[in-house]
Amino acid sequence: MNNMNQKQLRNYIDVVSFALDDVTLFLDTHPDNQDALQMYAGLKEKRTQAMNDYVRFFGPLNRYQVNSGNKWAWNMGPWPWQGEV
Amino acid sequence: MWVYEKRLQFPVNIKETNAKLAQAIISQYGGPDGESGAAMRYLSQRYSVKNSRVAGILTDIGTEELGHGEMVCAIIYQLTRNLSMEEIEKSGFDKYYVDHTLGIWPQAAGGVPFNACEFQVKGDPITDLYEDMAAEQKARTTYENLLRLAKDSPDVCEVLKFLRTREIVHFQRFGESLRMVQDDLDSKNFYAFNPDFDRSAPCVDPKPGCNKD
Repeated sequence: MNNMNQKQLRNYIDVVSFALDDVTLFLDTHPDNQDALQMYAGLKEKRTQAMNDYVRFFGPLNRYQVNSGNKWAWNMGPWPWQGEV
Repeated sequence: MWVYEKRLQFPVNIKETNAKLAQAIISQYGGPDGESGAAMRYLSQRYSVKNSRVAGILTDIGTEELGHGEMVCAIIYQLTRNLSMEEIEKSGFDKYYVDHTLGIWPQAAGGVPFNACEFQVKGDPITDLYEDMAAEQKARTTYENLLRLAKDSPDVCEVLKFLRTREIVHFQRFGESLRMVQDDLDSKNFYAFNPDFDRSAPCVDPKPGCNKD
């Protein structure tokens, strides 16, 4: 995660999170699949690490991650639906 | 992007069975002033809102409303989960039961299906925020009407009272949002300007010093 800029780190979080979303669905119907369980564990660790880095350097991605100084910065743009300008 | 949390915002633990009450409370899931309409209203309105803080408030309140829909459904589920055939026939639940058994379908207390016409997205943040404030008041009144019907069901009342209070808090926050949007307006064009559509306030009475188009 070192040396990633904000866009790269967000993209990394998107990729890892989607993989987690997909393996979650698979595990929902295959709860004993050891390969999938292992994949979930590995992805979860990657996501946790990336999320921690993102919150630390670039700000919160959800309302429970906000580290405010003396001004609330959660509901500030840009918002994800605005795309890149 | 949303992530589901396996918890309710406020606990729902109801032991009694009461199909009649469930049929009234279902209005706050799929009725004209219900939580589904509230969530869809705010989460749909937010896209065109240029004021970032207000877009965030609509996101946060819309998200909370999704959770409130879940709480209302939890009440309905718990009130009906142990229904006997005899109770279904006696309580007037039979008409709902024919189409949905004990499943939970978004409809009003009178049986009218959920309908997107119950809310508006006008694309003018002033108009939309006035609607949102009215919506919170209508939902508060609905919860008060339900509380009168639920007076003998303390477990249900606890949840309804919590949800009613949230309507009041949301009303307050939307009032503040409206103020934030209005503070950004041109004082000369307070009533003739859609801040999410017009590029800048049109000069109604152009004179030197007016820097708007």
